[in-house]
Amino acid sequence: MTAGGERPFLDVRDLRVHFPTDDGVVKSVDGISFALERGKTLGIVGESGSGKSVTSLSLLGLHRRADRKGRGGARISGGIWLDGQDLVTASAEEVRRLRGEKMAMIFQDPLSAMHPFYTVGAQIIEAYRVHNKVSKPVARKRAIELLELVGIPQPNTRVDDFPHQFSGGMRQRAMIAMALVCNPRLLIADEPTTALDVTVQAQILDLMRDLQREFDSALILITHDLGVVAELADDIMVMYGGKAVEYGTAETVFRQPEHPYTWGLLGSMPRIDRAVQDRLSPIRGNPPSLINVPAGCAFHPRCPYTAETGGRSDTEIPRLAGSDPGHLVRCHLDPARRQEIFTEQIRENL
Amino acid sequence: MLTFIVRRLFAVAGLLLVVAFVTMVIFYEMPQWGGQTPATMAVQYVGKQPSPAAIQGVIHRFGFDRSFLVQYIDYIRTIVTGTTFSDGTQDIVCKAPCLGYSFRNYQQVWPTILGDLPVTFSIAAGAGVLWLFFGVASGLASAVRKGSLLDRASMVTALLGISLPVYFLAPLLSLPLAYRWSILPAPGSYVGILSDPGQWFLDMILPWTCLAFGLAALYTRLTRAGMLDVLSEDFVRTARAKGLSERRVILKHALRAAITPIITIFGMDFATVLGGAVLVEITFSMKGIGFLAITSIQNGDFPMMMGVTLFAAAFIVLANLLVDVMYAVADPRVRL
Amino acid sequence: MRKPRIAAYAAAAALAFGAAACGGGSSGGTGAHSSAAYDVGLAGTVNKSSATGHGTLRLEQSSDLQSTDPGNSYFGADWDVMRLYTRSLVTFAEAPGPVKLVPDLATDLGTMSADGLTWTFHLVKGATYTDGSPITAQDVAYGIERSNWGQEVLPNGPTYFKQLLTDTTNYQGPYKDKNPADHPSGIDTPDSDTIVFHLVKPFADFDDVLTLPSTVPVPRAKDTGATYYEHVLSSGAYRFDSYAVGKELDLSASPAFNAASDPLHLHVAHAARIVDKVDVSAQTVDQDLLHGTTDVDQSGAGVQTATQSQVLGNPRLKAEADDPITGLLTYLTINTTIKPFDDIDCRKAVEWAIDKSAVQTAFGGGIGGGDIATTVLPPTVPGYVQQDLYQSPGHTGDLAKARAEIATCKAAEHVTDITTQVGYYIDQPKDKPVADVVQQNLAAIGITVTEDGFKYSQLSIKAGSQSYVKQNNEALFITAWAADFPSGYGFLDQILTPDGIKATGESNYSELDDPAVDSLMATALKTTDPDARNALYAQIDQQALKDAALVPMIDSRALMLRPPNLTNAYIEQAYGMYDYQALGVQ
Repeated sequence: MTAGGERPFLDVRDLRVHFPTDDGVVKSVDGISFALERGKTLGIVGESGSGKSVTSLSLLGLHRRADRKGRGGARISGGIWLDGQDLVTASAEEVRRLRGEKMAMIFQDPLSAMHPFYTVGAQIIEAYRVHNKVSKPVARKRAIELLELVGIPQPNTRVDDFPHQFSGGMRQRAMIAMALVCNPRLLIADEPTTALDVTVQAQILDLMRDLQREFDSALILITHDLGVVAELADDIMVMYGGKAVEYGTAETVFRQPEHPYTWGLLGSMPRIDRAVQDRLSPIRGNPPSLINVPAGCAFHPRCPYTAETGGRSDTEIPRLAGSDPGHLVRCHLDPARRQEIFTEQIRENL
Repeated sequence: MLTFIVRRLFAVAGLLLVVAFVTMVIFYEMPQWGGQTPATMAVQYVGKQPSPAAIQGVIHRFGFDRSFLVQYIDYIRTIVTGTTFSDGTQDIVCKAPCLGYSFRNYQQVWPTILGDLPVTFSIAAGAGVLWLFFGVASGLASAVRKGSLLDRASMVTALLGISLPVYFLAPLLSLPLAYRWSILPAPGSYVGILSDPGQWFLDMILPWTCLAFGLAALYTRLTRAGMLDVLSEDFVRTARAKGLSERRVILKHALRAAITPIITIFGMDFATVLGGAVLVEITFSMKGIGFLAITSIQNGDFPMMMGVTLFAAAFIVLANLLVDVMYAVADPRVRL
Repeated sequence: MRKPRIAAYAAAAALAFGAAACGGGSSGGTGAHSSAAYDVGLAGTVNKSSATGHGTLRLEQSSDLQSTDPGNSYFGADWDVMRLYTRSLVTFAEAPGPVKLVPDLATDLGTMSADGLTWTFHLVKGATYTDGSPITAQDVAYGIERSNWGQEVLPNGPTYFKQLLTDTTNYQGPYKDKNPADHPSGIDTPDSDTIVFHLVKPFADFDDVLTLPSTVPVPRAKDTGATYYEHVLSSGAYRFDSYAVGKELDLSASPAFNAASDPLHLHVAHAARIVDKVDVSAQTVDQDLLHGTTDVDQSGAGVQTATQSQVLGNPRLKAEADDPITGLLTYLTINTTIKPFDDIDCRKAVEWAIDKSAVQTAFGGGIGGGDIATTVLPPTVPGYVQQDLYQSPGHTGDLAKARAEIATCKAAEHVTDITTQVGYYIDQPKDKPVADVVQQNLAAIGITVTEDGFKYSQLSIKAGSQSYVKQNNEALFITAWAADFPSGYGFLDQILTPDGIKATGESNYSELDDPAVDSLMATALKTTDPDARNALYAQIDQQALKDAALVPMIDSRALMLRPPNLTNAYIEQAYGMYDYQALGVQ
């Protein structure tokens, strides 16, 4: 049911993922929209608790859905269309069949994300055979192929090793092999390099870029690290408090960021050419509680420019908007003022 | 692995030497600290009109006239080399492993234990299957349907199972089932599995149920807690992300990880039961190792007490070793 | 000569071994068919049946037999069972009511020679073992020799013969002295049908001694000593098929039994098979009896307290129960050598002070507990005469008389305060409440009593040790006693004469050494007329109470069930339990 090319390959509209708890409703994701085509990469950036991981899990349908009374799981609303198919209204079984097949995920910590009691090969074979009716030897051949593809030396023997017998980088390569085994068209990587050594990080990112080209898949890269995004992403969405606060092409967001939170994120990126004391300018304060999101702009308690909004930031939630449709920002400040602040105060410190 | 096992076997032997020493202190020495003398300990073996010579004879036979250390060394040596006893009319050759000779019933200790083992093994094997299966199954169901009516019902049952002692549960079940409706044989009947498998099975149902109930309850809770832990593990999420069916995620991925510690606990529990399911054996008058232990203590049958204690201890330390090996087999991360 | 030690207190699995009834009295209530009703099994036979070889009789008990070897057990319940597969020279008539001795392997009861020292018996014709081989007088002699002189191998049985028979050669027993020609001089077997006993002193109760399983024949060639218990050669109506320690004893009707050798029909196999399951939990035994999954509690110990109320509260069950006197006396001994109780007035004060009614309540009441005892001899033992030297209304004691006696004693002994200890068994749950009653009763007359509970296994270092009781000033002891065979001598000698006074392991805890008692006993043992002899036993009983050496408290009763399935059920007073040889099933 491809919608005649009208819809993007992945189209997310006003996605909300709410978790009812005894203390109140946790609005982990509260109305985000984005689109992604095959061969393109979207970077979702934010601090922990900003809702970026929840977003990715909800794409795969990995949240337990709440019952009819709205208890015991996630309340999901909005729309997720993958290749024209609506995943929000699809049955759990339909979504399950898509998982691993059409969309796959690479997790943050490959050691804990792989089953410790099964060999790497067995886990890849299993992923393949769920969606492909092939014999074990055939699947095994495929697993070895994939291991070779992701750059694991001697894949013929390593296929029978257990995850704990792999080094961290090799393990993440194996994880990627497992995700790619069914040739998925959407690949979601949740902090794929965070648990790795810096030198290995670069190798893995290179690998992902190469593979994305080879498989022509859409890639969602979820990270708190703008540096990672800079390497790979075509588009960037910055999330804060369950909402997108800035969304645009990578180039725009990096060259002309307009949201004070994005400035903070950029400011906290380490750079080799700065003195240590100047290098990191972390954002003051803590990320908001997702149960009691601050009234008005969720970022206002941490924002240095609230005074300029004339009190609106305390009461009114800003809309995600921008003069340029390729660059949306959720901020009460006037776009001209935002650019002025960036140009005059921020850019030089980045 | 092999060096590990060999090294551990030496440790097992050492541990058993210590157990034998402590047991011997408890049974042979401690009564004497409490005012007993070798003569008062021997007097129960010599009938109602004991002559001093008869008492001396028994004291000598048990070795009470030698120093404790000599008795201990003799006992250990006898296990390894065997020995010859006299029951007064004839010599009895006790081959290694010679755990001694009971002068209470004129029986060798080791064959007596072996003779009673099938009863205990029958109880343990059947009950083990029951408590492992039902414990794991209900724990699994509880964990998967956490908070549901099923979960709450099974937790209440588990609490009941843990709080109900065998000697309470046994009449509760046997009064209606065995006595009133005569569906099952009354407690106290036992036939060997080889002589009549059907009857054996019927005889065993009540003992199995009573023993398994409490343990199944325990395993329900263990499994539930373990499964809840494992279900929040990353690799379970990975399994789901691969598109596996929920059934496969639960059984092949989550349960596989959660059951490993349970199996090791099971190994220990099973060994403990094999060393004598005392309460069940007493309640159902089944003449297994536990019953043997109790009667030998009641009768002051020193060699039998020593033998049964050592046997049970050996079972437990060997099970410990087996459990460690099993753990290594089950969990590839563990290397011995 | 020595004999029974404490009876019913044989360790935790205590079993009363019986004792009782007149050697020559009339046999009451014989044969009358009784329909099932409460206590009819005491004097009549319930469900009389002459069927033979029918069905399986199921016995159960919560402990094990001490031994199946007729030479190696001291349990009355074992002896009752042994009659199923063994014959002794003399046994008890198979009928309800007072005990009557009848010859079994012997043709007649014995006659004492003029000097009282020789007893001669002839064996019945045609008696055989279950393997068909003939029973000889030599086998009877061998059975006595192995059980009485072979104690290093068979330690548990009684050894009256060793005490009573002459033994000039100091015979070492068949296990040490393997020469078959050697015997104690007191046993002669001039031919295969005749056995002659030579006694060291006149002993008029000798027929009673011959009822013991010591006189069961054992062929020397078949004796394997310590392990003979595994394959006893049966001489009775049932064949000894197998016995597994702690599990069960299996018997079946013996096809080889020669009924012609049993003119009194003492050995009739009413059942085809008998299965005796041992070491079954007490609760299970009761449940099995209530639900008809077993036929008899072989221990004869009576049902558990909980079952008792269930039985008594249900008319149908109560009709299937008997509450016989077991022959076990619970009593308080007063040590006649410990000051100030060496003064008879102090002892009499104790006799008057004890509230036996309160003791009975503490002991569990009339049914299942027992009757208030006022004599040493239980009502089922020959010589018993109803008497009460220390009469008080409702058996509650007489404080006035007690205070008067204690005042006299204090004045004579020049003491102001009297303190002492009372020993009791902590493994007998009923004894501690009794000790409490004794403590309160004596406190009322100014005697301060401390309780000294100990385990039965510690007896020989506690109340059974003369030095212990003297060092610890323990003048009082609550204990129990039953005779090994139903005679006044069997009950009284060990607890009232110097025969029972020993430095350790004594049984005369009063340490009573009264020449009056001793001479009455010597006379009785020379008296051949049973009635005259029993009158003497009654006098001994009374003399001991005049001496205030002990306070009889409770004659035990035990509530026993006889399921409707059981035939020929009656209480054999000799054992205080059902007569197993007579039982059959419908």
